[in-house]
Amino acid sequence: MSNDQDKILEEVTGSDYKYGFVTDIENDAIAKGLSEDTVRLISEKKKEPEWLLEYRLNAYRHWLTMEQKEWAHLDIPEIDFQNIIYYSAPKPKKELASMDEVDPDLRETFEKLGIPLDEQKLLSGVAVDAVMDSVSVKTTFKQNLAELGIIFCSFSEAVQEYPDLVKKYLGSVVPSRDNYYAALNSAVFSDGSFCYIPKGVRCPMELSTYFRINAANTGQFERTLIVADEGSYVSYLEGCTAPQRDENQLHAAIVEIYVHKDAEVKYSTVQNWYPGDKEGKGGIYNFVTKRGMLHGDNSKLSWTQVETGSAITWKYPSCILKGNNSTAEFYSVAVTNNYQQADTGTKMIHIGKNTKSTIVSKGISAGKSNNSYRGLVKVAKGAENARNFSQCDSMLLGDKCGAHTYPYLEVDNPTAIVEHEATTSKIGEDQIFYCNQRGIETEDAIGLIVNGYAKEVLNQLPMEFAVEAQKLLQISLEGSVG
Amino acid sequence: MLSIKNLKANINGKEILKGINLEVKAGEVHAIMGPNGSGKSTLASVLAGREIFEVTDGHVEYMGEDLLELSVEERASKGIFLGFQYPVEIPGVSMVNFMKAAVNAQRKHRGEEPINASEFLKLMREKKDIVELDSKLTGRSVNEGFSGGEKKRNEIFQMAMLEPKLSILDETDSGLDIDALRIVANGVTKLKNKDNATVVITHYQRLLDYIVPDFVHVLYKGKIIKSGTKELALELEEKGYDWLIKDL
Amino acid sequence: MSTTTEIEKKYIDFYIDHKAILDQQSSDIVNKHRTQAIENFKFLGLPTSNDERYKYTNLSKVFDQNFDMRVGEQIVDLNVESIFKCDVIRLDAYLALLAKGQYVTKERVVSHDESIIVCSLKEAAKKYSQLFEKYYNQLAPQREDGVIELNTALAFDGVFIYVPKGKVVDKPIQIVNLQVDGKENNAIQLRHLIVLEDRAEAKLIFCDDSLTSNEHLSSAVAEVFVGENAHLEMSKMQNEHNESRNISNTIVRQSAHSVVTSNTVSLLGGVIRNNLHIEMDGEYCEANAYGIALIDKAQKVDTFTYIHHAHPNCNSNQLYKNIIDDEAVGVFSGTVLVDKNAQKTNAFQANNNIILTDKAKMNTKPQLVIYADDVKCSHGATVGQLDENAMFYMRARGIEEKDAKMLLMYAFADDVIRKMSITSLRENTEDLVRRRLSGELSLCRNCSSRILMNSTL
Repeated sequence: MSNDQDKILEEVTGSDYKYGFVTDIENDAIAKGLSEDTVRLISEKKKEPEWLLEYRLNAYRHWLTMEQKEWAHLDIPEIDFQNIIYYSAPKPKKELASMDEVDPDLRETFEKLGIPLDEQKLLSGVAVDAVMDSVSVKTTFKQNLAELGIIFCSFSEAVQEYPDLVKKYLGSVVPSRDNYYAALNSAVFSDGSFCYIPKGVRCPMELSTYFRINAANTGQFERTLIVADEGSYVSYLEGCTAPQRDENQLHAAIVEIYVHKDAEVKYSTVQNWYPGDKEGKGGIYNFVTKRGMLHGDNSKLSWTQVETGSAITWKYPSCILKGNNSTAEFYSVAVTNNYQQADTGTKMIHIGKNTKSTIVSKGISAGKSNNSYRGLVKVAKGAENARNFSQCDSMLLGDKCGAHTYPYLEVDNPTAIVEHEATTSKIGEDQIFYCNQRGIETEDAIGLIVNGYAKEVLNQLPMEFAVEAQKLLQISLEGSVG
Repeated sequence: MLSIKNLKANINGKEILKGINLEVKAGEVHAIMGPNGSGKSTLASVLAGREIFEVTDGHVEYMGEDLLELSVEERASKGIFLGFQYPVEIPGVSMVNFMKAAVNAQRKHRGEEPINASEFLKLMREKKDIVELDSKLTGRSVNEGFSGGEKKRNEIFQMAMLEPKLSILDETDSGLDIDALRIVANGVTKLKNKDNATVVITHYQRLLDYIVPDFVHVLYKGKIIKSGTKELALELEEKGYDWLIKDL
Repeated sequence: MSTTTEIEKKYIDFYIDHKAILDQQSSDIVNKHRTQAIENFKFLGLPTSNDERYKYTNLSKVFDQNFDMRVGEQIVDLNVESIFKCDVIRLDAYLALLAKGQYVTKERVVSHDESIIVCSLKEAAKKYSQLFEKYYNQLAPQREDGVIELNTALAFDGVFIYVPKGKVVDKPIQIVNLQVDGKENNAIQLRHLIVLEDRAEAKLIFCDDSLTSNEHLSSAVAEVFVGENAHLEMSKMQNEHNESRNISNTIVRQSAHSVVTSNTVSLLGGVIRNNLHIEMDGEYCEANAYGIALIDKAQKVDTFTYIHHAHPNCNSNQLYKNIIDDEAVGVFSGTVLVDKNAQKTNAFQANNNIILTDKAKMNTKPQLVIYADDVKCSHGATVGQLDENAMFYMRARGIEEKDAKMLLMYAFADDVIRKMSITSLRENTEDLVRRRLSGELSLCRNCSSRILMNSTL
């Protein structure tokens, strides 16, 4: 491609991460390091019941016996788990009058991130649980939702208020020994969101969790648990950002979704953790286990993700299609630029009869990044008439990046139809010229073309998110065509 | 409006244009004809600013400015429109979004506010009638799944939307049946006025029955070897190019 | 490799015990590589299912049999004509015969041109030592695979083919590898070396057949060098029986403008694992890899391909199909690797599978690893059944269900068979596939049973 475009590339790839600020606030943090005592301390700080401490300790003891697997197409520097702070809570400057009151500094932080915590200022259709470092800061619209019997609160609050529900579902989808980072999370998770939609209730607004890492040297280990009871519906959004720092920070979360008979859950993520600078310094290690159990017949779960942030992303939002006629979808756009690495995809485990899954993955690699799709489609023996269709496309911008596709199809039933298709392409010089000739600048042309390429996925996002995501895509890729 | 002096251009070190001279004034229609490989499409691409061609010599003045100094999109914003011989498909990008981006780029260049949605849709509706473009097509991705004729009509539709000063239509007639040809040519004629100019590049005289040129030029081996009026096109149709080449 | 398993130890001990015999069999060049290879094997071990390359086939199980390994010279008394009484296909081709892990053909193979060499690996190492040394074991170690290292350590014979610059072999060369031992279960290691110099052309047909129903293991490694503008077509016909274990590693390095085509037809075999590695070592290379496997009972066919686009403007095409019946298991793992500078690469990879029963299983892993931006790469994989609408349509026209099924399966397989350029081979394959699909292939056409054949030898 031409020199001019190379120049634009040089100029703009280092475009600023606009969420990179730090909130100057005092923290109630525990000392660095990880041991049984750390686990006990976290549990104690959260005034947890005995059974939960046991759960954590079991996970911790098992974690000690585990090794990190190396099958992912990632170059992960060794992580010193003793050099991480496992609990850090922003300390309010003054005693707050009620649980619903928010420290002004925190309020300001979230406002800067575009997440006002005043219900009046919020978009009317979205309830937010705002999480900073290890604790939930505020959950909005709790009252309105409670009227419908919907529980939407921080995980810590759920442990205190609804222990039976938490006990019943915690670890039911992602067992504490599932994998290295799931075990770690199960031992040291601090806070997160809990959501329960009762039988037959259609949640009238989007529920949303916004995760913010603020404190330095801190790992964020949050936990989200969503339970959709029979015949219910909820659409859930997740967003995340972190300050710009030279050192890497670890984020190892778990999201569990339990979908009962005839229920439907849509889970959308716009992941924009700090990706590191253009030299590849700093950024978040995003090692996340997300899984949904489609337990009941006719249940439905849809994952949509727009992944633009993090230095390293390792995540495979998955679905276990246990109920008959259950339907699962995975839509993903993953963008990597500069030195980012992403190994992401999904697992679709077909167990029930007449189950159906769809995978649409669009990878975009730029700079010196590596972007891999890795997905498993498994059709178990009894899964009569299982259907899967996967479409995995990669787009390369520049010749210093990599795009990889690793699908695994395991079919154990003769009535299954499983199809996988993948393509790799680049933005054509002729496409850009065509746009240029119509007066559209190269930057905008790339934005247009990339958004067109990712449209199938972006269309799955709720309106407010879709616009945000489109902008994000363009910002993440600014000038990256060479 | 356009003044080309001794223009020479290379691709991969091979000289294609070997000293072109051409004057185009507002209100005129010029036809450039010539056998395959004579450099017709190269001339169109060079004027639009395609960077794979290297200009080695000569001058191009457009509206008092040095055209060769401008980027592709600057030229476009200043009113140069290239009707592509092979319009590119851009999957997933809807015609609406594409045209809106193009119209707004032009407005931005003129220091105007972006067009609002209803005004834009009105404009789209108005203009697509000029080339009898099916409204279904404007809802689809740019050129994706369009037939050859639809693609060419889409080019003229875009020309109508952008109201260029200088339109260069590169083999707009190729691949069209007679009905489509008539539609496209009528579209071009409707868009013609005293302030704009059109350069039509074509193989065949056929198109010139519909778009009547003021001047006809014959391009051969990178040079204009003969210029005349529309009678020249008829003569070429009858006798072919050989008699001209022999004269050289 | 942290610990050596019992099975690995068995092979290492065997090597130590038989080193003298092995060394005596081979030239210094081969023995030099042997010593290094056993060290590599100690380090690498046999691949386990933790190795992504062997995720679906645990080879240590295959090697964990009480096979009688043969390393010394065996007496082979074979009536060549009797071989073709059975289903070993007879073509208008030059014939080279391997049995009991040794090259047994005595006479000259390629008659039309003296400069074209087809002989035993053993003979080549001695007679053409300079040539041999230049190529032998130059590709194998890079695969870092314990199975290959074990082969380098234990193999002492196989076929050597050398086609000098600009020479064209006028007929296909058929290399028949026969299992003939009727008494014990045996294990053999074969090693082939194939060199086509610039502009040379050859077509090779490797047939694995068995005249015994005993369990046996055959592990073959072929190193293949294809010079500039050279053309090589290799076909592999695997037609043994349900107790056989057949592992092949074909490692190809091709130079600029060369064309390599590989056809694999797997009809009978207990466990078959075929590895095809192609390294494109110049611009404008073309590689085609096609395979069809028809498997039933408890058979397993595991196909592994790795095509490395290391230079610009190369094309690769892969089409692998499996029809899986009974409790059989099919595996496909294919990787296309496109290096950063390999611009204008065209790579296409497809794996289509039909599973016919509740117990049949297919695992497929088609992978693209791409570092260049101006490329056209795509892959597709499907697992499904016969098209019900087509079945119904045919039955509505009065075609019996079983015949309709066969017609569809045959059509499915034919996409691959059609790719074979040697007419007689293609026709024979069509016939074999047709008979295999109608369930007739477990019986030999020319004798009442395969087992009876033993007595004729």
